[in-house]
Amino acid sequence: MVLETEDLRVDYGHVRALRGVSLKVRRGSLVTLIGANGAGKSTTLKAIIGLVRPSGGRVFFENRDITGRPTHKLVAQGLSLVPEGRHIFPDLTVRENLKLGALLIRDRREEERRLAEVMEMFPRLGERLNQKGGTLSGGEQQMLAIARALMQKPKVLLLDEPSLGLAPNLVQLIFEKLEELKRGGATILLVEQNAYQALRIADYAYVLETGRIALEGPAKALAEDRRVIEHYLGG
Amino acid sequence: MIEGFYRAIARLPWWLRWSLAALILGVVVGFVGSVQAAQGEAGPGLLPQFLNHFINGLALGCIYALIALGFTMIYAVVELLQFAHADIFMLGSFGAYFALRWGISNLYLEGAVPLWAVVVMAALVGMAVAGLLGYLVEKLAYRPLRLRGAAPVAGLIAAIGLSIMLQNLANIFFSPDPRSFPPQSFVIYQLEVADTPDFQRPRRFRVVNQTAWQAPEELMGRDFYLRIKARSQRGESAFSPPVKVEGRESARFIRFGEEAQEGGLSIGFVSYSRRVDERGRQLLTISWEKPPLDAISFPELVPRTPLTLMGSGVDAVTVTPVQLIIFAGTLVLFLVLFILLYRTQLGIALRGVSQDPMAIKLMGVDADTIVSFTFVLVSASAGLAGVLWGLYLVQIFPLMGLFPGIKSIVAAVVGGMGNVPGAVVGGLTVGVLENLVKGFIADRYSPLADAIVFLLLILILLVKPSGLLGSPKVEKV
Repeated sequence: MVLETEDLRVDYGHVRALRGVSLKVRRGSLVTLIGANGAGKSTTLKAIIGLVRPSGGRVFFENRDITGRPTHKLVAQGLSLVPEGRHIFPDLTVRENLKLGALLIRDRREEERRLAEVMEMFPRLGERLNQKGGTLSGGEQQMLAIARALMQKPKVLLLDEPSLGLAPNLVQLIFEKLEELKRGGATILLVEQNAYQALRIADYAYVLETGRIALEGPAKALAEDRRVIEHYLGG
Repeated sequence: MIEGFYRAIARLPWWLRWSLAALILGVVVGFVGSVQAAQGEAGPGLLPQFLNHFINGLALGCIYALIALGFTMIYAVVELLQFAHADIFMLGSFGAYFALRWGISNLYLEGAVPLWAVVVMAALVGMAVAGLLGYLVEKLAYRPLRLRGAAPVAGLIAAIGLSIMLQNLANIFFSPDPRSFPPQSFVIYQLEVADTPDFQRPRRFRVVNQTAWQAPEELMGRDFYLRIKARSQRGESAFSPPVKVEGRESARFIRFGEEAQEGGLSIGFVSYSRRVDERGRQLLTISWEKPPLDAISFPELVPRTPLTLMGSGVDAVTVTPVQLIIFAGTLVLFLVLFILLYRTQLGIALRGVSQDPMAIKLMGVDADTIVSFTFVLVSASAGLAGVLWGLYLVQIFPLMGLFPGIKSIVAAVVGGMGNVPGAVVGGLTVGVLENLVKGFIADRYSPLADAIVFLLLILILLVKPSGLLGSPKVEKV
């Protein structure tokens, strides 16, 4: 297991956002976490990467306890998050955004190589390298956010709602890119509301309901599960 | 906080904004323009006057820009109006003052470094002191508030409190009286003590800027010869004639005649006296006359003679060497800053923090480190401003940060809060307007000069509510 949470709990004041979430991500697999709004999907990712402090439970990364460690240290160790709402730097150019992704790399040539890689994956960004991030369209911003995280060559890529607010053809594009990454051997933990797409490309899935894991299993099996179809696939 | 201010102006109906602007323009022209037209008879022509005020304004504006940089960058990074920044400016100049007084001046007087190096070293010490203070202020006062998620107003109150505290500490430790900058009338005396009147193998003691010396215990009860050496400003030294101190004598006063002069200096008399202190120890105090001040006072760090750019006589347009140093210092600092901000990863990260502090953590950077770095950087810049201010106005005092501080905040607002080039443009604007208004206003209205400057700045905001270089910000979601 490259990433594992054990009975993870998070409280926001008196609101209990997570009530004991245990999930496992195997190296080279794409695991998805689906659920309704407010089920605690984003909170799970934030708790893993240290943006919120868990009130209980533990997080293991490469078999080391990383619970409550500061975000920037986890990023340096190989966890990357593409946050919900993209959070690109609007007043920095696309190139500068990507450069920040590679901030921890000291080797200039390595940085250039990764830049070439992500531009090959997202040619659209290559055309807009000197444009400010804030002037990109929503889909382009999402690509930039993913590309920026990929500049870090993460061991595990955490994605928070990458399809949120995008037109259907762009949603399709983003999921194609995720499949491409998966084929390239990336380890991904994907949080999605778009359960249909997520289950289609994932190996394993967890269904989160009010801060607890309600269901889990291979994605193929869950996609055929009656409860999942009723609640999440609009069956 | 400041965005609200910008929005409030922008929300005024356009006709109100423009008629207010016209009204202000009318008032200003009425006060400044008409009076001057009647005055300008025998004096210098209008154009040379204007150019001189403009140059003086640019020099002052550079200093405002160096301070405003801090207000604007700290605001961009942590949304805090760092009121104590003006006091860091003040403490930077005091840092340089004491460094000059306790060390750097001596290096020059002993001939170890040239004069320009004294200026550079003083500036660097001022920057280092201010930078360190900026670091401490952020770490001890603002960071704890930020980590606890305190409301923005808590930071503001902390900043005001800190400012008052620093001012009063400076009043207590440095006294509220103005001091001349650089410290004046520095004299180094070297006392040479020997057993024979030819001063073979003398023992040397150094005394800085004092005219009395307490002899060490081993000289008690002995006869010895003593002479005093002072260094003149051109580096030449002058000795007093030798004095024989007799172990048995309790006191003596020796006056030297004209023939004692050497190298243009004279130490007119030397006296010594003994007494027994309350613990029964013998004390031998040697004191001497201070040579004429102008002979050995510390030279001007920067020459005062203005350089003529054009014209002559009353119509001359001039610039002083200090102003040139201010221009050069400001230019170098901003060049370095822009290279740092736009060409280095650290600079990109710094701009990133101001746009999205959460996302910067996801880039693997400790946002707190960047905030610390920002405080050090802009405080050092304020320190440089403090040293330049000292050189320019030749005196410093604990409350000196007050007015430059207010004007620099205004400069940052007028330039566009959070915008670094805006701080430069805003600073220069405030400085130039201030000098033009003060230069052209009639004497009987001169107490109103600052008010008129501020009116003009309000005018700018009425015309361009987001500041000169500011862009109306997209609301954060």
